[in-house]
Amino acid sequence: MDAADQTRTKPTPAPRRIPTLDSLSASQIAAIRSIPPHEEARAPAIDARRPVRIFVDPAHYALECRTLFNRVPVPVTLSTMLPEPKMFLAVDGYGPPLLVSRDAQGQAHVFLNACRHKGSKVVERCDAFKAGRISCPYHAWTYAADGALIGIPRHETFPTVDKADHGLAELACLEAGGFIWAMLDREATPDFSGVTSELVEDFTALGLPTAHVFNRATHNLDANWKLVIEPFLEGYHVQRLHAASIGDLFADVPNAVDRLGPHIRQISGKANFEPAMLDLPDENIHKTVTHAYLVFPNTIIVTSPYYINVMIIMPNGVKRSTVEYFMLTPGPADNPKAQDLYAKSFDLMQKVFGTEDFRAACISQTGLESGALTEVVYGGLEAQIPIFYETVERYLDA
Amino acid sequence: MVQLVFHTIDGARQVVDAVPGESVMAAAVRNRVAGIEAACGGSMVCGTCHIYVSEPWFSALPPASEMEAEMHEYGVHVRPNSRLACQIAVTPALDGLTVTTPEAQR
Repeated sequence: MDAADQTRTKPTPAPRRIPTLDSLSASQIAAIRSIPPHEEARAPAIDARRPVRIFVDPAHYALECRTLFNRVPVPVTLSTMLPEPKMFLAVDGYGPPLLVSRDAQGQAHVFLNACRHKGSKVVERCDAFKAGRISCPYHAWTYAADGALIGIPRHETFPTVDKADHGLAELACLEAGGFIWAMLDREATPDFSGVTSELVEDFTALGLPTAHVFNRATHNLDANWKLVIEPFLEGYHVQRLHAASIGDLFADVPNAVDRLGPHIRQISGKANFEPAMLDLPDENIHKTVTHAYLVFPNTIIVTSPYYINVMIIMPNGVKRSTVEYFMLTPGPADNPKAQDLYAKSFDLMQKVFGTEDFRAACISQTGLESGALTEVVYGGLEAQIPIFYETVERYLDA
Repeated sequence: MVQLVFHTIDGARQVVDAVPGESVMAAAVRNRVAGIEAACGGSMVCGTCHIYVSEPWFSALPPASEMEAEMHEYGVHVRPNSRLACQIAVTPALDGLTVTTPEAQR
């Protein structure tokens, strides 16, 4: 049997691309090269404080909604949740029902998921699905994936209703870096300048736009959105909160921190990190370092050797948040071993984030509500938290 | 009575009795034919009574209106012999009409 026959009878799988240091963006590589050996890392001593009311006061939350969440683009979902034209996904976490779609030409849209007849949610299911059109369950007013109203049953009984004026209400949106971003307030002037090219380059290098959603989960938490974000901006808790799970994989040292516009990138060497490891040929860079991004204002990305965690933290009350968690892999599992690894990793991450990080946010909320303290204090291993709040405060004060 | 034959894409077969004057969709809904949703009740706006019509009947039917053709542009699993069952009136000439329901209606 010649080589061509062998190829025909037993196709060789495409070689899996190893995410090496070289596959990353120039900016990521420079940051990784700047990580010192753990024994030389020095954590700063700082005194940063914030008043407790920013987590518990409904008036403060209303101010954040008005001046921040209604004024900047927020990630609504991942591009890869809608991998083909004519797909739809309802997203409820921000409060108002949203409907994300990809039209026949592949263009992403974000609409209010409300029929123009009586306001009913047109899409009630919460998974992504492909469909040429969607019909409201109430009276079957029917819309295309670009939001156009294409059919009204017994249209002759609505002599003054012009279909052309009754498409789904649309929010300004942008697809970039693997996310579909939207302006939540239709009255606000759309400004997507905060979605910087450097951020898009980093996420493209990580493969976010083309990744596969292995699994996803929704967590509804009794905690202010900022308390859910805080643990992902500091390494201080890792050796403590995660002592029984993943703590021993990480070092108790500060991260390499860069600000990409309003966003924050933290890169840390794993427990056994040595700078010389960066020059090993064909080494999976995600075994050597961990990337953790705060995508302003409310999304966290954390890399792992074989998958990427994405969490969109959607506030829907002063002490109520919905986390949309996605576990991304380079592609679907193509063998039982990979399936098993991904499935176990998903379970582990639900435990680590769900019963450790998210639990920490909820127990903090409870204690802060008690009035036991008037200020929260942040130490040198938590320095990115006040950095994040400085950016938030620029919007609140504007 | 006019007999209509419905097949599902995976081969199940159901014969229903239809009355001249009603639509193929109405006969299907009355007989609970699998795979016909008819969410809009026959107003030609939802496209969920989509069927494939077998020959020789497909060629014998009056052609689809412009509005029906437009609905197929927004459809899924559309084929050259796609029609909306709500737009086909049952006549004695359609006795034995054979159609197949698509993999999904939306």
